[in-house]
Amino acid sequence: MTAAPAAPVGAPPLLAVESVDVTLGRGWRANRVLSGVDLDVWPGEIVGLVGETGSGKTTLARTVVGLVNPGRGRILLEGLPISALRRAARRAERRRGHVQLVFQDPLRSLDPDLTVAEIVAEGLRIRGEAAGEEVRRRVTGALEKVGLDATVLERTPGQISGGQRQRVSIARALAVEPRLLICDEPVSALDASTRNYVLRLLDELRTSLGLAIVIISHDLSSLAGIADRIVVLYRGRIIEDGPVDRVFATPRHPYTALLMASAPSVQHDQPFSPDQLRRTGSDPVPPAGPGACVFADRCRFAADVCAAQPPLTAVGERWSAACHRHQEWAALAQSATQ
Amino acid sequence: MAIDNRDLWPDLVGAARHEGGADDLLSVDDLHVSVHHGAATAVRGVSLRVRPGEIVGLVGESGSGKTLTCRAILGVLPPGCAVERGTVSFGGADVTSLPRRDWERLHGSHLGAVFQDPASYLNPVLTVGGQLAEVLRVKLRLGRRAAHRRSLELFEAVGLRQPERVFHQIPAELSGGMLQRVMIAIAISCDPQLLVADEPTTALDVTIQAEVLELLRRLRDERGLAVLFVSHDLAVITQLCDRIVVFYAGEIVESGPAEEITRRPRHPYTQALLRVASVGDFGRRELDVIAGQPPRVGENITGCRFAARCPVAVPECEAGPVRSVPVGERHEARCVLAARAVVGS
Repeated sequence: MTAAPAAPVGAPPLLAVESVDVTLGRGWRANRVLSGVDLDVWPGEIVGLVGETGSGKTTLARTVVGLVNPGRGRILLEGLPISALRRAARRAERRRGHVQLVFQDPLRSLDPDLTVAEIVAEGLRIRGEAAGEEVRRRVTGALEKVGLDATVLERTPGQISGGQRQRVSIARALAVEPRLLICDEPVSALDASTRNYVLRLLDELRTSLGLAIVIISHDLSSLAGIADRIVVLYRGRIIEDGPVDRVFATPRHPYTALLMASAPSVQHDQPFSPDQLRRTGSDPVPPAGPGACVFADRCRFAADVCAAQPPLTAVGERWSAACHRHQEWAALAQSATQ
Repeated sequence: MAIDNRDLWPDLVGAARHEGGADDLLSVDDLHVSVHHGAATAVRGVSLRVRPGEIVGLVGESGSGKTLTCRAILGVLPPGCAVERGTVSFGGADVTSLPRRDWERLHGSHLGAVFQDPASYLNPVLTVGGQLAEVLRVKLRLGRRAAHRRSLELFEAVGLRQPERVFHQIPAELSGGMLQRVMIAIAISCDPQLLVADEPTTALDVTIQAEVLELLRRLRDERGLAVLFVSHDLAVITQLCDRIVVFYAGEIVESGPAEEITRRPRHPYTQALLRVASVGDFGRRELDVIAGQPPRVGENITGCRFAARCPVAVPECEAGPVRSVPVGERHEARCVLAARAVVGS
């Protein structure tokens, strides 16, 4: 039984991450990066994954595509436990390319010496499809889906603009017809207009291709524009997971509220100011220790109960949060500073 | 019928140009910066002013010339770039063609700078405290103990919680937000009047970014520090700045008080930037884009450089050079239609 929101009736999740722990490094260097992560993603859904540096967003993405092995728990793709596959079976699964990763900085993730045509064809070539008319057709087809025409085919990544480069890396991922696209900060290197263009493109692709898309981003506001669900990670744990409109209307975890209050915006009508949510010197000392809530040392509302890590529990329909005081803190914040 | 803005409003334009004058801390006049060893001009006639204690934000897409303008102000243009024309004056003195040695005197004591990636400006094998103390010893000729004491005070002033502990740490032991605070401490160590901050929060998490922006505002309030803040993110700029200067393709297209710019933007490009910026309602919405591409660096365009992408362009936009016209209190826009509206009123 996962704590993630209940599935729409009848439809199995495309991706199921079940109680995954990931530890990077060994011995004294060992560092628990993910703890008990549960996440389901359904076809045609856009999930926004947010969190700060070091929260484990990228590790989660790398675990899902099989670049990192979970120490505990498993990952299922269309019911198949891909995290248990080894050697040849895993390589075969990867070559199928059902899960594709799009990276933050296309200038560094695309080979500067290859032409756009070669980059987009690479996944097909690895899969063992002979070069020829069919590959050529699929490459132009993938580029068409991202709004690029044949004029960029023979250029190298250095010869096209930043927005075009990010579209090429999306086309590269689309060429192998994935079921799930994981985009790691796909727009943070782009200008606002290009950012919106790429996000809109992802939104269209999910509709036209029935793709499931996980977008890792720190820009909550633009995620709000396209995501169906928001998942918030904090120090390797999911602390809130729910429908985007409800999470952003009344966040149930104080960290989600702090993220929203801190997000730069051209409007200034936020439910909370960062000051109402940040710890001050006069706040009582939060419970500390190995078992305490991961957010306790930054939380204004930490109480004795927070000495134990709260589990992710349902706070609404398809909505869960990991906070002992999810029903109390908002009122405390309102009364704390005015 | 074509309207030539130059002839219509010479007096108004002139008045706006020289308004303020003596009480400006920094004034940039008609700055042109060439790139690729003079092959192209990337900054075309930029004029801007910063008053003491004022936070001015430069905003624009990548390649719009905001960073080059900033670097010209600091006298640290990258190789192959040069000031072609125009002047930069600091406290009334022309610093455009200052020799290296004089620049060094100006840096620190009058001008401080912070950039996007603090780690690359610090020596990775020296303690951050030692690096700050060194600046104090060289620039202010403080003794070892005095420099140490002053360093701790500065670390505290920029909100580092355990100054004594941070003093003895090397850059790799500090987080990005802490490193940026160290950089700000170094930049303000010799009490400069102006801090130039080029995308200082772009690499930081939003919660840390909000804290650094608050720190800059506090330094202005407590020390009267003026800040020239560069960002591609209009949302960040509007949160921090008193005045906003909008760059497009090497030119300033609009400048004015932050409130005016966000509530009543007069240039279609500023209006477009506001539409694509992050809004705080966190609702599902149609994400807007600005159609087309900005002109390439050095591309010669007779009329308005935004005309090709402008949704409301009229033929005269491309007829000849468009001048900035005053459209309000310390508010200017480089737009044919804004000029027309001024004529009409």
